[in-house]
Amino acid sequence: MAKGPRLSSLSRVAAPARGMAQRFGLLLLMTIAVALLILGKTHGDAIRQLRVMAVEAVAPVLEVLSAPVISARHAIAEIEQFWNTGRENQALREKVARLAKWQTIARNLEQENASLRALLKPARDPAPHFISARVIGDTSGLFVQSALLNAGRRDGVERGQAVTTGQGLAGRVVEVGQHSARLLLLTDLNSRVPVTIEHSRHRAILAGDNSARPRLTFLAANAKVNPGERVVTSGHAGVFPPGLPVGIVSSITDGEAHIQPYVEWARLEYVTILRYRAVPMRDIGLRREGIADPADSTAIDGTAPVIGTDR
Amino acid sequence: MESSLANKAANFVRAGVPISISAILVLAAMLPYGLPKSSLAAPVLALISVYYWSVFRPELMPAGAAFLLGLLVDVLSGGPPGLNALVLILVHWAAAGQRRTLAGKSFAVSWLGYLLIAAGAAVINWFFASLFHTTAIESVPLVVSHAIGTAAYPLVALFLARMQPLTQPG
Repeated sequence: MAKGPRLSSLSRVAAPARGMAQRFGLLLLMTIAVALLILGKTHGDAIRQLRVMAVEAVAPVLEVLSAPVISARHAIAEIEQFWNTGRENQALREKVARLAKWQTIARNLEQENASLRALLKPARDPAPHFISARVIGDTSGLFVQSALLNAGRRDGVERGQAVTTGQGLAGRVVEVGQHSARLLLLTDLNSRVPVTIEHSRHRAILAGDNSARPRLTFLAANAKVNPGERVVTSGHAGVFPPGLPVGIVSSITDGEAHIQPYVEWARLEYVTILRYRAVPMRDIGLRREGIADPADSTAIDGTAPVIGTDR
Repeated sequence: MESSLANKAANFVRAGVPISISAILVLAAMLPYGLPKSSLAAPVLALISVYYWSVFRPELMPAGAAFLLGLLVDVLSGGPPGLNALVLILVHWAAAGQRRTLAGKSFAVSWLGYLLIAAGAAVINWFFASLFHTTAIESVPLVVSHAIGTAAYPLVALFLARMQPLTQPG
């Protein structure tokens, strides 16, 4: 009231104008958001490229912030260990006794395997190269199960590479920046991994469904699967090396087998990225002289003959 | 002259407080704590932040800030691009539009307002995510995260209320 008539008449004109501008801005932003959604569907690769660039910008912040978190986790783990030392010692003694027997068996098998290989001269699987990385972001949301790693193209990371922990396969690399990469977990809706049931050698595709237990699909109709059976990567498609432990069959409901992955997601901290080629480097070397860089990717794109431990 | 320039700079910094705090909350939620599902807090914290500032200091949380915050969540989570951006703009629009009803009354009213607006956000989220993935996305995690967000609202709101003096001059 006290502000006088001039100001109020001004605000009478300005207020609706500002309101309109605000509404227009709101509409514009909504349009951009919807456009992004549509582009994400139709031009997935371009949007992914933009996302990689944005993640690259944020990754250093996450890397710095995550360091103390990791340290705190280590401290807590150490305290836990301290409390459990007695019990753990007992458990480890038992485990050592059990594994000592296995060692003898393994040595015998190794000898036998070596002599049989010498007789047969089969093609060997190439040894994978390793890249170690730290998890700097736990980015699993409602729709995508993923994590951010602090290794990127600079370190030799490429799209599609398998990511493992000491326990088993965690997933694969789906986006790579210069210094960071996104790991798509086994459990994600879009994760597909060719696997083999270890004992029966039946092949299947392990398909994530955003639940903690991905399911086996494309399993042969006559295949029998029992709970407790180990599931490993089959090495088909040449992306993952064969024989990586994936998980165990946890339950079978309505003829659909669900897998409990070996990886404990809560412990995902350091991971190993495998630079694997389905064709041994020396074979490529024989055909194409002078290729020394193992990152050269001509081998995996369908031109490679299927080799390895197939039966 | 100098003091007015300093004032302007101080105002600029103050205006950036809400969006900065919100972004830090989102980043902090995505650190690898080794706790199951801890990262699900990120979109929830973004939602609470946008709602809170839109109700209590709408001029410091304009639609553009809500959009950027949503984009940050989208980029980091690797989910459908623009989805959280869209949801947070709508939350801003709804919360700022109803601020006369929501602000200044009892805390329970603003909490109830959050419950309703966040429920709407969850429905929109589910609808567009399902459309994007062309399959009906499992709705249980969304309902659970909405429930946890509503339960956590008082705590986060209290924290943001403590931060509010930072946005006011001297």
